[in-house]
Amino acid sequence: MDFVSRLQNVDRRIIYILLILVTAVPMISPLNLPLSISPGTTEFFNIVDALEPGDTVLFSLDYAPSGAPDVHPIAAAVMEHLMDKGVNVVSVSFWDAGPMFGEQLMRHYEELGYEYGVHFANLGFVPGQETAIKRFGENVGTVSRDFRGNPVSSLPIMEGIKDTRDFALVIDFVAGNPGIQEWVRQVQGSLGITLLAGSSTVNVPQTMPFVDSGQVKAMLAGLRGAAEYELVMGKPGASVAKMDAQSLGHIVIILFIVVGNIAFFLDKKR
Amino acid sequence: MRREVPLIITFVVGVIVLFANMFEGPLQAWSSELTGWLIIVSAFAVGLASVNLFRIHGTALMRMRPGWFNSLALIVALIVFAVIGTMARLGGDEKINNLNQNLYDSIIGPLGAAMFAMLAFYVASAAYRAFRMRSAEATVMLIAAILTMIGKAPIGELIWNKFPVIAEWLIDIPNTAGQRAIMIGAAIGAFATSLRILLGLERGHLGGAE
Amino acid sequence: MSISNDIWAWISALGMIAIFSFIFKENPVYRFCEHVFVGASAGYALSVNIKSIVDNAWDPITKEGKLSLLIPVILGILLYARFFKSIAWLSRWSMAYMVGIGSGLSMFGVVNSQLLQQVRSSMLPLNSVNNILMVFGVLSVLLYFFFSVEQKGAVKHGASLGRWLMMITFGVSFGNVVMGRISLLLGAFETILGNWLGLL
Repeated sequence: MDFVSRLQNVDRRIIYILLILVTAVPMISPLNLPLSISPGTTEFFNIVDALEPGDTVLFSLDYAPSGAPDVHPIAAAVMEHLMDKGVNVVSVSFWDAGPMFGEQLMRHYEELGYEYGVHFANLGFVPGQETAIKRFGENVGTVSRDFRGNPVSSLPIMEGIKDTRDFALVIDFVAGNPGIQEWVRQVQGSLGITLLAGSSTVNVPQTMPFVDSGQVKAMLAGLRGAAEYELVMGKPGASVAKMDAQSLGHIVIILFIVVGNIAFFLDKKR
Repeated sequence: MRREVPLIITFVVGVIVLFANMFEGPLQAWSSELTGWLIIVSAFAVGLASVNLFRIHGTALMRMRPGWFNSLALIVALIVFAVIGTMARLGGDEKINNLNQNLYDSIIGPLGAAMFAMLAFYVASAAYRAFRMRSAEATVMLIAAILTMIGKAPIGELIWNKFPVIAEWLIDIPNTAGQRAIMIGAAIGAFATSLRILLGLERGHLGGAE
Repeated sequence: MSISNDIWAWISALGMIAIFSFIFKENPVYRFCEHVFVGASAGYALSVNIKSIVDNAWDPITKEGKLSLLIPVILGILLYARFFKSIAWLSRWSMAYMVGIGSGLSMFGVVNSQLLQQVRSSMLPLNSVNNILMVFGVLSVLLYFFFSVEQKGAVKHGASLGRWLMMITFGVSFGNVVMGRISLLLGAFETILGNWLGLL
């Protein structure tokens, strides 16, 4: 087999091992590449930063383990900012896996002395997809008991909250449908809530028209968005640490495309 | 009756919910009740998948078909997660709640994440083997993809500080225009399909023509 | 390097490695883990939905006497009629109800928020390159999907511009897919290299 044929038919396992190496090594020994902040992240940060202590924000946790490594870090970064500012967080989910991520977030702050029901609460999962989003959006009382089994009316954090307009902000952390499209269609359009998105990277292109039209006020995009948010907050954490690996991952895939095309053209010329 | 009743149900509930959005009045209370019910019906619907899994893998297990051991693992996992999860949700003590969270975080979480993380390898392989400049259109697509990737990676900024600006522009302008047009088209399509469903012209969801 | 002595960290990491083994070759350990994942996910989904039924139907019916909620309960139970051939048709009633609600809701939502709002946002003054691109970009892609007139002359040129713009859109989407998938891989590595092996 000559060079061009060999280049055309590289064993896929070599591609896999290369990808593992270029992403795993910089995770173990980071290169500390500088990271710039995109305008969208600054806008998101400013909206959240303008909240007053005692305000309450709704998190809609619409992701599952399949997208969690890309979306959960955004929720964690924003949660950190809100807890720092003394803003309360109520979470709800229209994906059945969502409440478990809500618990992950809240358990961490419970260990730090924050109080469940006062600083945050997890309303759990509401089945029914788009219909459930509409129903919950117009009447938060749709959920009678939280994820831990407490009557929602007994939680101090829920005092005075009837519909989603009573939250200072609604942030949808989302990896697909139901998610931001349904929130825009069923709640934002009719109630005019202030809606923000923490979107998985894959969903960013589809969500852009909503950001451009102002239906979604600002968006954090995937793991990179989380890393930028950590930097703006002044608390670089796990997401920032992964950015070097992300960089090299991109570079190696671009190289794969380039080498694959060189092989293709050499073969065509022959 | 088998044919007409479902069509009437779809039409009546659909019209109530649609008009409740547009006009003030008693329809809104009815619509609110109807949408509230859907939460309950949807919760029942989720059980269908579990019943199906039980049927298929229960049969495989009883007949000791090849791979019966995997069917056993599936059924045991299903029962364990359903029982412990239900106990935790319906007033379980701290110990059960912790066990439930640990089981989720250590089994469903990582296995699900790994399943989808594998896609990174397939994307890499596809980038090498399939992403070719076969035509002018494919070349434009490829260049847009490369600029997006390099502009969104911190290393791209080191190579040339305009890469992030270009990537941002590609997402903000041409991508938004394209996605917006697709969204407008999809909205018209969704409206037409919904109308056809309400009018009984589209019956795929009722399964067959009977 | 300080390898974890937490049993849960071991289960997570070994499960992930077993799943990743598939990329090299399909094997029995992968198949086992795959089945555990499917069973566990279905069991978990069952548990959260049982809670939902208890909270939204059982408690209100038994404690508050809201008998009207028996209707959705019956509709929910009817879904299972599909497992019995002679009464399978009854499950269509529940299906018809669910689809009816979905259609009614979506008709208003898509027109109001997706169609009108997006069209409105495309009406921009043609005073900058970006605005011109946005307005003509949206129009040209719509033109590409417009099959009611023959695609020739100006329509053809417009549609052709739309095709080029869509190629850029798809390229951006591909770039984002790559980024997203690598993020997922990094999440997996964090569990294996960090939580389990203590290398991070």
